[in-house]
Amino acid sequence: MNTLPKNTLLFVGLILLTAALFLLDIAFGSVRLPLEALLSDNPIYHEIIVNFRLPKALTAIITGASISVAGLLMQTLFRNPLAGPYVLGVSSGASLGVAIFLLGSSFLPIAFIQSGWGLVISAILGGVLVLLLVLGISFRVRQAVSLLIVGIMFGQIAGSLVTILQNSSNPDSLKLFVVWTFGSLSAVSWTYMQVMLPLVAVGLLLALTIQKSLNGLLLGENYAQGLGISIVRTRFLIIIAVALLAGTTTAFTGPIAFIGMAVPHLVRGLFRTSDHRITLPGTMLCGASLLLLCDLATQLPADGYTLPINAISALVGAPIIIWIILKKKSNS
Amino acid sequence: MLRTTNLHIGYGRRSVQSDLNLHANARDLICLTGTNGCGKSTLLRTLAGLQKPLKGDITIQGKSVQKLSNYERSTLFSLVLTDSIDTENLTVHDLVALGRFPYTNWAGSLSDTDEAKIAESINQVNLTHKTHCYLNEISDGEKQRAVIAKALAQDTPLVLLDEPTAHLDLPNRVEIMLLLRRLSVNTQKTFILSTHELDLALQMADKIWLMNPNGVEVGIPEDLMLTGKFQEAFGSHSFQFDENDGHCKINHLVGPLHVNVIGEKPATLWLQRALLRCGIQLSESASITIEAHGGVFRLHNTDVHSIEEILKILMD
Repeated sequence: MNTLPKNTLLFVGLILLTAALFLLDIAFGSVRLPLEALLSDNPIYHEIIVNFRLPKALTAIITGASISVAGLLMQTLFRNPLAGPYVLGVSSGASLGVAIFLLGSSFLPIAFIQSGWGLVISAILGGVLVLLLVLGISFRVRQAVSLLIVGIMFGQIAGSLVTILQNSSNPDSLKLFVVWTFGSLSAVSWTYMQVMLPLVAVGLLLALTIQKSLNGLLLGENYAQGLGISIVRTRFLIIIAVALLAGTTTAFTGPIAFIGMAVPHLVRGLFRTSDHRITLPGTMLCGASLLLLCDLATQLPADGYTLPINAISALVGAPIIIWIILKKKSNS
Repeated sequence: MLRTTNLHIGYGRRSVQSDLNLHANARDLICLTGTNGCGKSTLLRTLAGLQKPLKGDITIQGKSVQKLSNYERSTLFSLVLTDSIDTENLTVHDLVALGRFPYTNWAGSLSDTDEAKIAESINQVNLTHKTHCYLNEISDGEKQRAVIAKALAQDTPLVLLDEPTAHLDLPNRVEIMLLLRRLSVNTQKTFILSTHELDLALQMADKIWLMNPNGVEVGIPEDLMLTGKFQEAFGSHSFQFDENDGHCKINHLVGPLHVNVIGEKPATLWLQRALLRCGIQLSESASITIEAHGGVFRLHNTDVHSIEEILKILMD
């Protein structure tokens, strides 16, 4: 809180970095465009940029920021460095929803399946269902750690159900499901964006409005209560925010691993503070840049072929976490 | 100031203590002590509003605590708990600043008044030179003082501390107790702390709440000592409280050997202690006599230069 000039510099740097990566992400894709294409009025370039690259890059920013903030909220709530946006079972719930939808789709009307919304809606329903269960339990358990375990258990149950469904489904729908679990930033069209953006914006705003209580929670729930914070209410708001952030983005892009867990650590290390007034905006910027970077990395192979974003994010995120743990060890 | 009426505390259906009628005045330093498991922490947690009383009422400045909002409670009580604060990247200043929580706006930004109060609180615990140090860079004693500064910054008439001296070495334990003693005089606040440091509690507390499984004895340390309440609460076959100075004395196992010790203090005192520790009894009519004189002990007409050697000779 005392080194404002340094923090301002860092923020300016992060904003510039995000902007640069954003432009690069638009410029590079499965079809190589010359940099001038960004400004040219060639209709093909225009179509590619406006309807493919731009929404994809925006999705990377929104998703990166959202899952990272969700991760930060979870780490603060559980005071556990290994908590991430999906610990409450959001992604497992969403997978279950998608699995039921894709693998058990013989029961559903065909129009619903083909619209694309079906996938999104079933993912949201699955994620929200698990979160509601966790939320219901959050009023009954005293310790945040128990809640963490409950979330993980629900995730496991959802995962088992998914496996059972996979076991008894036909190869075509199985492939569709597996592709969904790869994650994809390019699946979000402008139409989807109109739904995703407001939901996520509400989640981010909610996170920003409870930053004071989040700072209080840094001392643990007992101290927080001593400072006049209502634990049940704060917990409720945090879970709602995470549902909006992680739930929505998972529904539209599929699960994206490790970014949400790694980014808050990076930000706390970078700014040397745990003050959420700094770490919340820092996490948004860092998360956005990192996912843009991951998206750029998915374009590395030859033209017309991209790597799954979920695999890249794990390749980038997991070593960061290992590095953080090693660094922590050498400090203490 | 603080008063409990027919307070029953415990968890769920299990009552730990019942019918507690306690009160605390402004400027009191109250030590809550008693054997493990008799409900010290439960009482503190209940007073602090971290758990609900099973029955009865707690009032502070005439207002019932149960009816207070979280905010109102946070302006009346501040807490120092045994919960470890292991957040990374938190400086002493950041920690103490959180004590201003009830007074800051939604964004938590600190006004000049807040900053002044933070600096004053840090100064009161003598940590000004560490203001911008991270919590993982300072010692446990300093960390505990920082947490106390946080409680001071919260600016409440009452400070509740759960075993504030646990895990600290002797100099730090004494320093924390002296600090609390000084603060209770200087700040007009009431401090209620649970502790196992009987020696320190007896020497520093204005009042002792002595807890045993059947209730709480309240009084100033000297009265409780004189009436034998301490012995009752803590008494066991293995030790007793010395009637003269209130320190606890171990009841050692004794063997058949008797020794008479004469000569100059303090050599005789330490020799007696060593003998008792080894199960050798002291008696003026004993056949063996040890005389301490001029830094030398005389035993069996030979000079012995250390207590260790005496013990060796006697044990053989």
